[in-house]
Formats: sequence, C-alpha cells, structure tokens
Amino acid sequence: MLGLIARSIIHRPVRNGALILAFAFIAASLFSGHYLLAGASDSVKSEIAKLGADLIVVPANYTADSEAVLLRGEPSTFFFDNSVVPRIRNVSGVDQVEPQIFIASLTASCCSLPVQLIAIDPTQDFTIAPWLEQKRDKPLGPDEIIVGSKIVAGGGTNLNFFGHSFIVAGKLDPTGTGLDTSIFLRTDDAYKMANDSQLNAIKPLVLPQGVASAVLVRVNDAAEATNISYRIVDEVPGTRVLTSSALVATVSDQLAGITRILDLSALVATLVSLPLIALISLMVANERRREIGVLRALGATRSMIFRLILGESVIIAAIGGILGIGASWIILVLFQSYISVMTRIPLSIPAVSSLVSISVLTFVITVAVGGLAALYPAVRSALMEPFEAIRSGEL
Amino acid sequence: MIEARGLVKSYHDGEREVRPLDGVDFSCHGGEFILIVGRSGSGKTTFLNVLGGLTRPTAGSVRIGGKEILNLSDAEAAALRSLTLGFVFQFPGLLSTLSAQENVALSAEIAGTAGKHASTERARDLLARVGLKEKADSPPAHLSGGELKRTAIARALMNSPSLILADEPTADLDADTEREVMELFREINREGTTVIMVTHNIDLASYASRVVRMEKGKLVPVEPVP
Repeated sequence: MLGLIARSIIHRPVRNGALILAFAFIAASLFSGHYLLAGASDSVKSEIAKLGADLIVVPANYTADSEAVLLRGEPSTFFFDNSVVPRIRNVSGVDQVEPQIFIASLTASCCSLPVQLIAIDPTQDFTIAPWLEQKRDKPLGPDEIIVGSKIVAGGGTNLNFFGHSFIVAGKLDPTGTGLDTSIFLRTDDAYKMANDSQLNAIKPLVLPQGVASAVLVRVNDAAEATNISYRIVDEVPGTRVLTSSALVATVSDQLAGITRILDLSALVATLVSLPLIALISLMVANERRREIGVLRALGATRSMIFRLILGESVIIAAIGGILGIGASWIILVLFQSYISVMTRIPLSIPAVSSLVSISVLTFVITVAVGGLAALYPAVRSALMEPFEAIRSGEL
Repeated sequence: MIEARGLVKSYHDGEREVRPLDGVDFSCHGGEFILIVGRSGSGKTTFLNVLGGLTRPTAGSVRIGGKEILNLSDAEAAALRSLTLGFVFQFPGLLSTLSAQENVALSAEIAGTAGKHASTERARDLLARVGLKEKADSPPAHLSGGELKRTAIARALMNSPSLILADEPTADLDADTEREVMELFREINREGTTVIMVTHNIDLASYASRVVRMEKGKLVPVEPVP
C-alpha cells in the first residue's frame, strides 16, 4: 500500500510538488509565529534570571523606558530618588535589594550607537557578582567595566565614555536581551565619569547625587513575588514593579502584530489551499477512477481505497510540513539577530522542549489539513461501484 | 460453479428506462470455456460485471460455489474477487506507475496471500509463461498492445483463480496477436480454470466449449460448436 502511494506521488511530480509547497507554506507560517513567541518569552525569562532578581522596581513614569532598556537594550537615562531603596527593603517579604543607575552613553569607539551604561554598587550587587566569582575571582575594581556580548571590545581594551577612560575586565555570555548591548561599571566610577564629563565630554553628563534608575529585588519566597510587588507599589508611591510575567506580556503585546500576521497568513493559506487541495485531490481521484476500479476488481476493499487516497494526501502534507518546519527553523535561527533588531523584540532560540512541541503541533495541524482536504475524495472513491469506476475512468 | 437467476439491471437515461439485463438465467460448470457474444450495447459486459460482483443487479441472484455473492460483505466480496476470480478487461488496466512484474504481483499484494519475494517470483514465472520474461521490469508504456493483454492475463492468474472473467480481451488486437491471446486462454482453460469470455467476434467460437448470445438483455443459446 505504501509503495503504491509513494509511486503515485512520484508519478505526478509537478502537481504534488505544488501541493507540497502549499503545505510547507502553511507549516512555515504556523511554526514561525509560535517560534517567535516562545523565543521572545524565553529571552525575557532569561533576562530576569540573569539579573538574579525576582522583581525590578522602576520609576512609575519611566516604565516604558525601563522595559526598553531591559528588553531591547535601548539606552536611556532616568532616575528616581534613592530614598526608595530602604523603603523597598523594608517591605515585608523582600530579602535583598540592589539599586542600579542607567545612563545612555554618547558614542564610543566600541559601538556605532550609544549603549546602556549600568552603574552598580559592588557592595550590594547580585547581578554580575556571581559571574565575577565564577570567571574572575575578584570584584569589579575602579575604572573597570564588564561588557555585554555584543559590545566589540576584548578584555584589557580601553573604552572612553563621557571623557572618562575604562578598562574592559570581562565580557558576559550572550543572552539575546538588552544585557548584550549593556556595560556594567561601578557607581562611584559613574560619578567620577560625570565629573570628568564637565571638562572632557561634548555633552556633559548630569548625574545628581542620591539617585537610582531601578532597584532589583530578591524576595524570600518566589511564589509570593506577585503579592510582594503589589505591596511595594502600595507602600512606595511613584514606583512600578516589573516582573518576568509582566515583561513577557509586554513582549507578547509587541509580538502580537507579527504573530497575528503569521497566524492570519497560515489561516488564509489553509482556507485558500484547503478547497484547492480538496479540488486537486478530487481531480486526481476522478482521473484515477479506472485505477480504483481495477484495484477493487483485484480484491481491494473500500477501506483500502479510502486509505490509498487519504494516505497520499496525508503523506504529501507530511512532506510539506517537514519541509516548512525545517526551512523556517533554519531561517529563524540564521536570521535571529536581524529579526530581533527589525522587530525590536528580544529573541533567543526557544528551549528544545518548546521547539519540539511547536514542531509537533505544527506537523499535526498540517497533516490534519491534508487529511481533511482528501476526506471527501477518499470517501467518494471508496463508495464508488467498481464497474462504474472502470467504465467512467481513464488509466 | 456459477448460477445466475432472474438477473435484471435497469437504470434511467432521462425519462427512458434502460434494461441491459432483463431476466437473465445462466449456469456454468467448472472447466467450461463459455463465450458470450452479442452486439455492442447488448448488455454482455454488464452481465460479466454482475457475475464478478463489480456491480449489483437491480434484481436476481448470483451464486458462485453455492454462495450468494450479493449477500457478501465488502471484505468477503473483495476476497472472492481476489482469490476465486480473475479479471481481464477490454483495456489492459495496468497501473502506469508499476512495472509489468509489479502489476502482476499486485493481486497477491492486495490479497496478502504471499510474501514480497514469493509474489515477485510467481509474477516472473507467470510473465515467462505468457512469453514476457524479458519485459518483466518494463513499465506498461513500453509494452505493445499484445504484451499489455498478456500481462493482464498473467495478473488475472496470479492468485490461481478458479474462474477467469474476460471482457473483450482481443479487442484492438491484430489477427496474429488475437490468436496468441486466445491460445493462451485455451491453455489456461485446459489446465482446469473456467473461462467466461465476452466478445463481439463470433469467429472466436472455436475456442469455446459453449457459446451463448446476449440479445435484448437476455441470453440465448447458440448452436454447439462443431
């Protein structure tokens, strides 16, 4: 039976090739949409995990800027009074806090565009401290910086920001998030840099004393993180709390347009090609009436004929599905950075388990469309009287 | 072996009722070679297809080996067609996607009676028997009209049926090829296989043990062959 189906598919290369392409398009559209969603979601979760924080407290009126810094590495400078830090520390359930200052750089030799400078206090830091412990075995020294994976500068390189010279002490691993284009420095160095900028920079940096841009928070019980975030907003007015789920929701909103287009194109492709594929299957079944009649005369049951016609369409859909999933997988991985820049969405390669489930789901849907399209021709062929099939068909 | 009683087949062509079979009674014993002759449109092909269970009559009964074939389930009817009957059509009816040998072996594959190796061997033997040993791997497109017919006969013999139903197997063949094909049927019949053949060519009567004529939906005996 499989041999007959395979021969029949090979025997009509042009028509079946076109059908395979149609199924590949449906599969590629479905797969791409879900891949982007999973990739963005994984990327955001990885960002939060890499920051080592359960919650990120930012100024309420700079929420969008904070998200842009964290998600896309879009440089921004904003502050709130760091008097919020002890108040946040006092909120019930909060274990540890780390204030950070965000400063958008002017252009530097490392980078064609401004980058995000993140000033940290080494005594309170838990963001890059684990990395430093693992790779360097000593804390961040004066005038030393740690650069993100996309910053073009190796260890020991001198980089100048606002007229202040820094030495690159290390490079972080890629995260697929805003961290990749960020640079970490010490808070006291940030103030020295602001002082130097008054004399040496084209545009002086104004960095008031006693400010922070974000406060990273670790909680005692991760399960309580959401409730603690509500308490922080209640007890520390003027703040907004970013959680990984909130950031995922933001990214999902940003992706909604793209995924909607991809889902829509998959739906349109299905709606357009389903009747077309059904029609082609019907035409093929009609053309093969005599063959079907002969097979019945040779002893094929109705069920065999049904499986023969349905099997051909399902196999064509399966080939198309595999090709569509494979091609879009390769394209998405190869052009991941480009897609991330174009869509302004952080993107990492989704976890293997996500990729497998997306692939399986896409494959099942594509094959189901193939089966659905051939259902009527298969039933019709199976119910045809052999004599009628032989008399009316051609071989 | 076969007994048909009161076979009626009717359908409507617009307002007009057409009755290709109008109360046909027929019986055939094992080992006979029966030729059914008649003009085009006389109902002989319809009759053959009713006997083979390829179409249902409007009324009547057909018993093969004592079993009423009109009451068989789809699977039972398929098994009967596969194992007891062999069909040779007016057109060759070979699948263009398969070689001659694969076409012949297809009956066994459908019936599931033999393994791949055994059915390939038997198909090659049958092709050798009908003089097509060298053409076993050729696709139907590379075979002549006579070779196609002989391949179709080999396919009909694949599952060693007790009855061959042949519908105009020599139509479109030249005189020499027609003789070759008919000799093949005679040989098959002499080995014990019953043959019921439909043809419009009364000249083939000499090959048959009995000749009947289909006239206006009824079977009429023809004078015994001298």
